Amino acid sequence: MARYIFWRLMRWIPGVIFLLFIVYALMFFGGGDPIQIMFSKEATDAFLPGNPRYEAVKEQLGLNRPFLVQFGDYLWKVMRGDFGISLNDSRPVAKSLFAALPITVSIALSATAIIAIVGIPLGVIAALNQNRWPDNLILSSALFFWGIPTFVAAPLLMMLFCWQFPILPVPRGWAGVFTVNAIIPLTVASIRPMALVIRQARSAVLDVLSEDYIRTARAKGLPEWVTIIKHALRPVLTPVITQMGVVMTNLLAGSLLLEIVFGIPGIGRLIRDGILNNDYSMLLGCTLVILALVTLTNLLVDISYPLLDPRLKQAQRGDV
Amino acid sequence: MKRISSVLTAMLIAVFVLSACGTPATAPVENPPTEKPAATEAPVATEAPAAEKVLTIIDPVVTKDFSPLRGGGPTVRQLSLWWAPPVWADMKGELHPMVFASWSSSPDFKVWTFKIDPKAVFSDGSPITAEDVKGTWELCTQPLTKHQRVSLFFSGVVGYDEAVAGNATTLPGIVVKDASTVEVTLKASDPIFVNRIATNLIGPVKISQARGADGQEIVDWWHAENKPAVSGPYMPVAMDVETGSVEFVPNPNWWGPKPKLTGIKYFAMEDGAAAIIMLKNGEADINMHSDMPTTFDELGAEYVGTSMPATPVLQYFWINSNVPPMDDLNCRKAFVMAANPEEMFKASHPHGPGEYGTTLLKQLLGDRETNKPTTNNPEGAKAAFELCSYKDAMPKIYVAGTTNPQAEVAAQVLIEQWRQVLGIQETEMVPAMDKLSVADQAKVQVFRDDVGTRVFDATSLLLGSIYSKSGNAQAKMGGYLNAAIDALIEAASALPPSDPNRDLKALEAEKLALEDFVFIPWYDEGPTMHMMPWVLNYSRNIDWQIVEPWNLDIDLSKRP
Repeated sequence: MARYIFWRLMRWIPGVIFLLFIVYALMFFGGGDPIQIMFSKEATDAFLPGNPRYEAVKEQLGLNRPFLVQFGDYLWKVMRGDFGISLNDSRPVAKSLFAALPITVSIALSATAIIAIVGIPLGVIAALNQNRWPDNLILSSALFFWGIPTFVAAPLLMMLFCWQFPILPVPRGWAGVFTVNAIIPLTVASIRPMALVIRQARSAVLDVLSEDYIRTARAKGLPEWVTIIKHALRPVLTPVITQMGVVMTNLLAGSLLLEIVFGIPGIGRLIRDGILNNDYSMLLGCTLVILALVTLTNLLVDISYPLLDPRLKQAQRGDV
Repeated sequence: MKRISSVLTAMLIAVFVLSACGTPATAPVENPPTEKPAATEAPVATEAPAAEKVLTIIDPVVTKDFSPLRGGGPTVRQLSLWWAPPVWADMKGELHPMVFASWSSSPDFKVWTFKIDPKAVFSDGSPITAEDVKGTWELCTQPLTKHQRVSLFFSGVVGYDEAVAGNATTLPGIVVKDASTVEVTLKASDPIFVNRIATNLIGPVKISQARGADGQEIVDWWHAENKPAVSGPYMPVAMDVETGSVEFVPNPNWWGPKPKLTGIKYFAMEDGAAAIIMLKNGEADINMHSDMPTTFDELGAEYVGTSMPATPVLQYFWINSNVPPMDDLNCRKAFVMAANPEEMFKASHPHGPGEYGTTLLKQLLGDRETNKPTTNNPEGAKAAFELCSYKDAMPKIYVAGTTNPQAEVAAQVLIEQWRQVLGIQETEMVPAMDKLSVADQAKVQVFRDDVGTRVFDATSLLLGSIYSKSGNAQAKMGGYLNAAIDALIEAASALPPSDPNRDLKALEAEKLALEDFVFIPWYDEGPTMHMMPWVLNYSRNIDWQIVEPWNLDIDLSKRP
C-alpha cells in the first residue's frame, strides 16, 4: 500500500508542474497587465507602460523579467515553501491560503457527510420501493433539487428563512460547521450533489439485488434487513464512494458561488480575486492547493476500495 | 464494516477538527467595549443605552488591505473613521483645521508652511509630529506603496519625480522645520495646494510603525493585531482581512468632537440580495455601494438618495471636434442643441440619484450667475443643422463609452432625440473602443465619460475637463485645443482662490466652450447614500469618505 501511495504522489508532481505552467502562461500572456489592473480601481493617474512610476513598480515586483525566468523563480520559491506575495493586496499568499483552506475543506467534508448520511439511505429506500410512490417521490425530488443552481437556491433560501420567515440570521462569513450561520450554506452545498448520490445508490442497490448471492440469502430465510445491511450494502458502497469522491472534488474546487453568496472566506473566493486582479501568485497558490486536495481525495477513494472489496487489493498491488 | 465505520469516524473527526481550525471570521460578536464609562454618555431619552449604539456598515467588496496609504479603491472607503486628514473640507467645500491647525504660503504660492495642532495625537497618546507628516507623504510616493492618487496631491512637490520612479525614498521638497511645523516647496506656483491636501487619502500615520528601515511600507502594520496608532475618531479593535471586516470603538485620545457611536462594525457582503435582506432586517445600516434592479422597490427612495457634494462628478458626453461631422461648428451645434439632458437623466435614473446636467460649473458656482446651458433647443438645432456641411452626407455617428446600463439608456435617448429633431439614422453605440477596428476608433465622435474635481474650485474642474492638456481633452475629445480657453484657464489658475477674478475667468472659459459646442451634459452625480432612514448625519464626499464621521449617529428607536 505504501508503495502504491508513493507512486501515486510521484505521478502527481509532473502533472502539477505542467498545470502551473499552463496557468502561469495563460495569465502572463492573456490575463492583462497586473500593474494596470492594480492601479485602475479608481485611479485618475495615467498609469501606462512607459510611465516612470509604472516601470518602477514593474521592476520592483520583478514583472519585467522574461516569462520563463519568472516561472522558474516561482517554482523555486514554491519548492522552498514560499508562495510569494499577492500582487493585489501585498500580503503573503500562504497567509491567505492557510486561512481559507480549513474553511473550504470543512464545508466540503461537512457537505459530503450530509450527502452520505441522507443520500445513501434515500437511494436504498428508493431501490427497495422500486416504481412505487416512495421511489417516485425521492427520485422526482432529487431531480427537482438537481435542477436548481446554487446561485438560485442560495438567495431563495435566504429570502425564505431570513426575511419571509425570519428564523435565521443572514449567513455571512464562516464561524464553523456547528453554528446557525452554517445551516443555509451547508444545505445549499449538499442538496444538489445529493441527487447524484441518491440516483447512484438506487441504481447500485437495484443491480446488487438481482445478484445470485442475494437470492441465496433470501432463500435461506434471512430477514430482509439483514440481507440488505449485511450482504447488499457493502458492494453498493464501492460505486457510491466513487461518486462521493467526485462530489467531494467538485465541492472543493467549485465552491466559488457558495463562498461569494455567503461571504465565506474560502479558496473559491481567493481564486475569483486572483483571476479578476490577474494576481499570479494568488491564483497559482490556489491552483496548487486545489490540486493537492483533489489528489488527496482521489487517493482516499482509491485506498477505501480494498476496505470495501478485498478483491481489489491485488489490483492495487500491481498498480505502480 | 468495522473498517468502514473507522473511516467514517475519522472523516467526522476531521470535520470537527477543521471546523475548529476554520477562522471564526465573522462570528457574531459582543458589542465592542466602550473606552469611556457609559455614565459619561449624555442620556438619550428615546434610544437604547449608549453601549448598544453600534452602527453596521457593509461593503460589496472584500477588502483585504486596510492600509491608509493606498489612496483609492474600495480599500479606502472607511478611512475617515480612523484616520484624520491634514485639513478637512465640508460639504460646501469650506476648509477646516484638522491635523494642521493653520497654514500659510509665500506670496508666489511656491512655499507652504503648515502648523500641526498641538492637541493632535495618535490613539496611543503620542503627538502627531512633522516627521510623521513628512514620512507619510514620502511613503505615499513610493512605487511599492501603490498609492492610487498620489500625483493629485504631490506631483508639484520638489523631488516627486525621483521618488515615484523609485529613485529616492525622500522628498527634499518637504522639510521638517520643527516638531510641529512642515514646510512644503513646490516646483511651481499653486494657490490651491492646501485645498488639494484636504483629503483623508494622505492623512498622517505614525511613521515609526508604517515605514521600515528600507524606506518601504511594513507589511500589515495597519492590522488591528499590530495595534496601529490611529488619528481618527474611531480605532480598530478587531480585524479579519479574509472577510474584510473591522470593528471600531471610539478613539479615547481623539482631539476632535466626541463620537456619537459606541462602535462601528464594517464588513463585506458581496451578494446584493443578502445585503438587501440585512438592511431590511436592521442587521446592517449602511451599504457602501449597491445597485440592484430591485433596490428602489425594496429599500425606497431615501436609501438610494444622494448627498450632492460641492464637488460632484459630471457625467457628460464629450464631442471630438476633429472628426466629421463634428469638425463643423454648425453640425456640433445641431447635435448639442437637439439633446435634452433632463429626458436622458429621467430615462437612465428614474429614481435618481443626482441632477440632470446643465453646465460644467453650475454645481460649483450654484449660488452665482453662471452661463446658460446650450442644450434642449430643438428649433435652434434644426436651424443649425440646415447650415451643417454634412447634412446630405452624414457619416455614421459613434457614441462610445456606454459601459453600463444607465449610460446605454442615456445614449439611446440621445440618439432618439437626434433622430426626431435632426433625422439622424445611422448610429452605433460602442461600450468600449477596442470593440471597434482601429480605423473606426478614429471616427468616434461622441464619448461618454465622467470628469470631476476633488477641490472646490471652478478652475480645477476646467483644468481636468476642457483644458487641452487634460486627459479628458486629449483622450475623450480627440485632442481638443482652444487657445483662448487654455489662456483663460492658465490665467485663472495663477490666481489665489480668494481672488474673484479666478472664478470670473473660469466662467469666461466655460462660455467659450459652450459656444464651441463640445459637450452634451447628462447628469451631475453625487455619492449615493445607500443608508437606512435611521442613520443620522451621514454624508460622503468625492473620495467616498464619510464627512464628519464624529457626528455619525443612529436612531435606534427606528431600527427594526
